Amino acid sequence: MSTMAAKMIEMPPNVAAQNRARREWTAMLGMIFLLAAWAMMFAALFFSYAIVRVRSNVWPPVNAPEFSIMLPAINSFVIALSSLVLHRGVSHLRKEKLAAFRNAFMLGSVFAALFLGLQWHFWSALMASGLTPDSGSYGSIIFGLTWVHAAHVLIGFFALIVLSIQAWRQVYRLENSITVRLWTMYWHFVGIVWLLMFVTIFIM
Amino acid sequence: MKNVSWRNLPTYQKGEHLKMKWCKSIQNLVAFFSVSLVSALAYAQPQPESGYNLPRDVSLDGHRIDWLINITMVFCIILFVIMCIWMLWAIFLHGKNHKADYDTGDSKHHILIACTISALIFFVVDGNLFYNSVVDLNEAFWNFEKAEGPDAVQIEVNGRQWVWDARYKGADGKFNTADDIVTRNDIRVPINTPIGMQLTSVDVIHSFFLPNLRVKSDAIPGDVNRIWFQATDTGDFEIVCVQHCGAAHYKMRGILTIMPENEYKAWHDEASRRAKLAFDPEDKSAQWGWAWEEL
Amino acid sequence: MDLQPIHHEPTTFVKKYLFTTDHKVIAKQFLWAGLLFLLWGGLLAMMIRWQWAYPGEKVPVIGDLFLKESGGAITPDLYPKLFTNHGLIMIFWAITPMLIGAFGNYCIPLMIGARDMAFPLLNMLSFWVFVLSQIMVGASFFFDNGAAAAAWISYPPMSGNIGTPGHGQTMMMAAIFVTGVATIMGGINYVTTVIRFRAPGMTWMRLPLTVWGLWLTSVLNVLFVPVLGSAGLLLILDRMFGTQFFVAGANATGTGGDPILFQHLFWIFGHPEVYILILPAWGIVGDVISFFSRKPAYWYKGTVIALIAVTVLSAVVYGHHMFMTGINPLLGQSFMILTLVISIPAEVLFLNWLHTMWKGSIRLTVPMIFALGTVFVFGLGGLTGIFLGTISTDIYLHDTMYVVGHFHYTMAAATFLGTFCAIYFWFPKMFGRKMNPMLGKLHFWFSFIFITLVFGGQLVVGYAGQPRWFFDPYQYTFLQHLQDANIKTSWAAFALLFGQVFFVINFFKSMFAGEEAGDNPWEVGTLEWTIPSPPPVHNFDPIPTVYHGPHEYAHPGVLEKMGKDWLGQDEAFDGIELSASTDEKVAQGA
Ligand SMILES: [Cu+2]
Ligand SMILES: [Cu+2]
Repeated sequence: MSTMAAKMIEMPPNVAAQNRARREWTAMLGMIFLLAAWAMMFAALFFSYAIVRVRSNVWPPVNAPEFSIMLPAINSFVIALSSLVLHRGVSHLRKEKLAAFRNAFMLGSVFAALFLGLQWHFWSALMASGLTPDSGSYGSIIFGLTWVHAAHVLIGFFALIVLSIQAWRQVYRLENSITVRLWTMYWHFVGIVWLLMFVTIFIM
Repeated sequence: MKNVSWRNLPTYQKGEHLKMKWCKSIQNLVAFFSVSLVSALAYAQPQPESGYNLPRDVSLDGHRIDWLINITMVFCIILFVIMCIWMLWAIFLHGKNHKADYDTGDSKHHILIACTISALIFFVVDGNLFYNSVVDLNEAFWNFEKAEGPDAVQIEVNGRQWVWDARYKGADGKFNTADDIVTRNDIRVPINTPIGMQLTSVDVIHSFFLPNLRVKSDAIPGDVNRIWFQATDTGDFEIVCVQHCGAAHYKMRGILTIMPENEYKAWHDEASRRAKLAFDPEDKSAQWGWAWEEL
Repeated sequence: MDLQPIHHEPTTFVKKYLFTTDHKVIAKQFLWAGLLFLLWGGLLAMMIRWQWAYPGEKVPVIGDLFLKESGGAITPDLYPKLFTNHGLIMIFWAITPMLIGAFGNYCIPLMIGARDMAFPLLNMLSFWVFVLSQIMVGASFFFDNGAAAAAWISYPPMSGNIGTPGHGQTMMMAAIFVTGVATIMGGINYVTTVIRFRAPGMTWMRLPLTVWGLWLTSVLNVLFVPVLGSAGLLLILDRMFGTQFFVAGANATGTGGDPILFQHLFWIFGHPEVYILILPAWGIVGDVISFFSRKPAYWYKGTVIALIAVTVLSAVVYGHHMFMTGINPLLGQSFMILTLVISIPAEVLFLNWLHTMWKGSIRLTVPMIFALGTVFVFGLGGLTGIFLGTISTDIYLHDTMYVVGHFHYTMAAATFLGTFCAIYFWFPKMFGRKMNPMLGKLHFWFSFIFITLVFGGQLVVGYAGQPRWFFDPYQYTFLQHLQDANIKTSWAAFALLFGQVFFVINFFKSMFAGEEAGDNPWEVGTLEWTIPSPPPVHNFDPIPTVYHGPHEYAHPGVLEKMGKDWLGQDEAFDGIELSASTDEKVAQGA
């Protein structure tokens, strides 16, 4: 990377672009470490789930209320779709198609809101069926893990709202697209964590 | 059923050392003349230690730990003294007035020496620790089979804030039945007999430590942990809780009494008989035992 | 546009001293915050020591001020709060901010030749989030049932609602979470800065060892503090929302949580944490010994490899804290061998330090004696540790005062002396003035002798069987004879506290009235000494080019041609690694 940068520094017209590329790479690196930290946090949560699960002779526990995994399944769809939409949005921004970019992020925000709404609905349904956070480790795992995840979705949701408003005001161009790209990275990460969560705690 | 607790353990106050020595002599006298076993035990007292050594070892296998600690201590002291002499000597010989060598220590020769010394220390000191520890665990400390047979004594221990409850099978040879003996902060075991214990807790984590027998294990709610030991001398010894378990953690003290085998048997039979008489099926809190967990 | 633009010096007080993005000011902020909590944690320690010497007797001064209700004595109820908060405050709010927050911030950009951190705003945020966590610690004392009391390890169920009801414990767990967030922010910053902002020519193998130590610490922080965060979060959920992650239940019906789960999470973080605290001190000591032996650091590469090896190993040995939990024998023995393997890189470190001194031209300056003191106490701490990494010896020693003595040598004595080494060494750069060496030496001898005695006393009584966390050890007959030793140890602790007076006087006096330091009072070659003391806001103007490693001392050619025994990293000299790999990083600071 830096040897490449060293060569490019000899090309005066590109100096600004190269410096931008290097600054972006610095920011990207920061985001990678941030996500690494977050990944370790979620890894610890999955580890907790694994330990509880291994200790139990039966899973789901005896007498645990049955519930449909329809909502989480739909949500997996929603979050995957939202990631796709944001990904498209970023490529629009790279080509400076500002309207398409704006629309994508607004749609993304809607999906994020939808995800949170469905999640809320899912929790209420669980409680109605008799599974509560304090009903043993099963409730703890399902509520605890999805709560922590939803908190991260909420952060992402706020970010998407702000980005959408800024997109509306045409704040972003290619040269300052890094903010958008980093938040998109964050969103993908949250999506991947959800898919892992869906597979491990709802399907397995 | 009431817990069988025949003693009121006197708490220590300053200046009681002397008094306790007296107590011990009186206790011996009483033990000698006593008609009833119970009254003799009322004066039971663990002995104070002296010096800064490991507490007196009265176990079959404790010497393994003591030896390993002490031999490693010798190694460590040697290494540490070498380090200090090296440092002091360098300061003394190569002070301000000494012209420093330009030596980056990168030569193969130097690296080889550094690695050899490190490897040597590792294989001798850590190797010795590892090898002996594995052997000791397999032969003794974690070889729980030794305390499983009919010749061994099994005890269930339940920690709670801030008491050690112990449970012995009664004459029926089963745990959690009417003739179980249940004691409180008072565990009695026969000498020269493998003693197996299973530990758990009902509230917070405690840790069961017998300093004079060199055994220790946590008592954890929801889990059953094992220890085993074999005593080589009679007398009274202290049971310590070594995991912070609340404000009175420091008072979670019990007494381990190691008895001659015949005395133990006499006590056990009598206590079991009394326990059966006193059994109250309504008192669920006294029925905390479990079926002995097989290996 | 410049990659590292030069910012103008802020003019308002708020922007200059409070909400500043200047890493040097943030470093000082962390230093102040850390020193304040060091004092607090230290006073708690003194109360504990008083209790062990004279259980139940009225505590002088502090008793009159704060313990009126109990007639000035420490009660069994108060006592767990003392040791719990002493441990947590010292680790998270004293050592971490001083060694990592202050010197990480101060040294990393200056030593690698950068104008600031990679993310200055995040840096500022990190400090203020840290302050928030400190406020939360303070607040935790004012709830019903008082402050946290489940020991620093906070094992549930003791740290759950059964063991410690009330919001004090919850608040403390939340404070740990928040300070964890601050630490991660700082960590991300340090890691990225070192990767991206090294001056041209500053290759990885030319980094000062201080930067290596801080960088590896930051990597560990980024990866393992989040695990503690998870543990804390789940515990808070258990305490506040009735979840049962750590509440034991019936396994047969699958409704059980697991108290041991917390211990796994805690020690997955907790063992690396030991190295998080000591790695910066090791790095600093490695540099300072070379600087004041006026000799290149012996086998620099070996030291770096050893530091990396320790970092990697630290992630896979945590099980040695859980030998008494009924761990699976095979697993236990694997953790045992992995733990013992750490002694190999540790031996390499020690050998390199000793070799660096040998045939040097040793100057016993204040930072140097503190560095040597660090080596001494860490030697004690490291050697006493192998007894605890071995299962059979740990059976006897686990949870005794021996453990307390051991980890205080490593995590308290070594980091404490290492921190003071750093303060004495960089003070002239930070404040532009020298500290008084006479007072510094007094401070050293008091600190060194008594810190050794305090923790040595703990080892002795632990070896004789005294458990930790005991309000009154003398309730046990087999411990009664240890009271004399404990009294002596306590007086060593009080003397240790007294010795800090020399530091306080020296620190404040030197700050305002110390002798002008000049750019490079120690005559050393790392980049921070090539610029004025204190440095300007943008540090370097222009960004220097680096030609060789940080430890070029006593080179005969340099001596002959330049008439000095050291060479700045930015000074080119024919014959020393010239241009070896300068092209690699040449573009970094452009
Ligand atoms: Cu306890
Ligand atoms: Cu450890």
